[in-house]
Amino acid sequence: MSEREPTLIERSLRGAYINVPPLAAGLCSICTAPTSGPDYSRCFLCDQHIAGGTPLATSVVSFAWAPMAATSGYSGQAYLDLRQYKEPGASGEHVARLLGLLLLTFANHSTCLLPAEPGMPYLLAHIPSTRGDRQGEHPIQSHFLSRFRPEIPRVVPEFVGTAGGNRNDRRRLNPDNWHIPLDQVGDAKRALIVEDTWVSGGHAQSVAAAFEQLGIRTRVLVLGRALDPSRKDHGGYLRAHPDPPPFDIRYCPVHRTVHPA
Amino acid sequence: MEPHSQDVALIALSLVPGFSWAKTRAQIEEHGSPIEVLRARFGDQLFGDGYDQAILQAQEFIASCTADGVNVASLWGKEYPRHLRTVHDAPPILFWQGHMDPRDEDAVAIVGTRNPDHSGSKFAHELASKLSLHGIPVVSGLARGIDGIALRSALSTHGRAIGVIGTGHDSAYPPEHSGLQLKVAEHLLISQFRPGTTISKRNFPMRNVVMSGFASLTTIVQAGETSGTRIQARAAVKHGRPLIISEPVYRSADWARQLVGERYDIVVVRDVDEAYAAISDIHARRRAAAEEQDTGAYLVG
Repeated sequence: MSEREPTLIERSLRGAYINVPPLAAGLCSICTAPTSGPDYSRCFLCDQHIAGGTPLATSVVSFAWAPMAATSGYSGQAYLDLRQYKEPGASGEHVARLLGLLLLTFANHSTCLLPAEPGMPYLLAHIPSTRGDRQGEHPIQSHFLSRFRPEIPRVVPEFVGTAGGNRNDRRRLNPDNWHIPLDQVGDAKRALIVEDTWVSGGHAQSVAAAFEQLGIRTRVLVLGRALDPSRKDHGGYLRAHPDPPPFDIRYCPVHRTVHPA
Repeated sequence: MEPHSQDVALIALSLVPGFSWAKTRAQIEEHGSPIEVLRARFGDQLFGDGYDQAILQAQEFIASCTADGVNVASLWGKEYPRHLRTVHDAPPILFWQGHMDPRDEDAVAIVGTRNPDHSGSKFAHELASKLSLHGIPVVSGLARGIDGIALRSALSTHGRAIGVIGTGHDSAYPPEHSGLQLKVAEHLLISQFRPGTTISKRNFPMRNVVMSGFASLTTIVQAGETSGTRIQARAAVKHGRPLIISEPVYRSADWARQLVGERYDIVVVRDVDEAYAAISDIHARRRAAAEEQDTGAYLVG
């Protein structure tokens, strides 16, 4: 394990953000959220997604946990950052921390996040808003994905479901709500889908399923897995495991451990 | 404040007996805005229009505060301090006297014990004076000891003094700081507690959280093992904000050594010159980060 001093942005993340804990009984094997108890290896929604029989994301990686409110020593800052960075006139503080999370996670864990596979080129995708009220480029593209090398192919899936309306309806797993523009896919055989916040996973898994149906293997990278402390499963876990350790960028979000240096 | 905006709707929600910000915030997420939450709560009553009544009551409340010289800002309003808005536990409603200033984003909180020794008093006085001379606002909590010294020193050097109080604007604690409070209110005096809120022990730690959120960074001048300022230190860490701790605090308090050992964004300083250098460095770093966001290089993939 490296004993180097953390950078300034790492120091800022250490108090405000929370590593996803190691995989254990009582945590969802897909989205990492606490389940209804130690006997359950998946949360209710991920279980429902799987029960539908649709081919889902090959893997899901969450960079951090994001409780929706401070509780039991957990900061609510990551969730606020994820909510606010995309609002008009967002503070640079929100963007700086999230950008730090993304860039430092890639800098420290690129081989785990994106293993080299000859003959398996990849593309980059994000999930556009389904509210129908956002104009122009999505902030996840302008703030974060613009930092990826420009030669990596980009795909912006098109939402073809009903815009507006009930948010929960739009969040249901439904790959038919998404059109993947094949002309943007090129030779890619893998898709790295970057999502800011995982709440129910409906959008991310729908987009992933739309890619998988085209034979493209998917990995969903989530900046923050939202947790609702008022829910029995999420809140119960957070209260039973108070005062999380400082956020450690050396902790691999794929394998959920600190790899030996 | 506009006559009927999201601002007013949030204030109307805050006036409902049993108001819980945690629950209301979750409802706002669900419904999209304070107006929609208010409509959902009052819009379908069988008798009378509860929504209109709630808005009217909020408008009367705002008018009453304004008549008493206290302004009201909500998280949805333009007047709410931008820097405070960026922290996760920012209060939904803020009461204030004086005026907001764009320079406040650089404000430095100076806090510490109610019973300082000579060197602690000197440190607080010299740092507040130096910041004031360089046009950097000083924030503190109007408590006895370090807080009062910092604000008085800012005032005496014609700097900007910002007070964050744990009572309503119509109270002063400690009572002997009522004159200081009036002077600070000519600059900026903020509270999350509405006028009429009585003095309560539990409100002061909440005041410290607001202070951390309002300031660009917190400086802890002198504090013991059980000092209330450790609450502000913890809040700053959870906000991802920088913290400056004087060497005597580092030497005397286990909590300070623990925070430093956990490698948060903390600088330990020996004297005022080191503290000022650290503050300048933190401000420069923030400006550089903003520029880097605008120009950023391709780093990934």
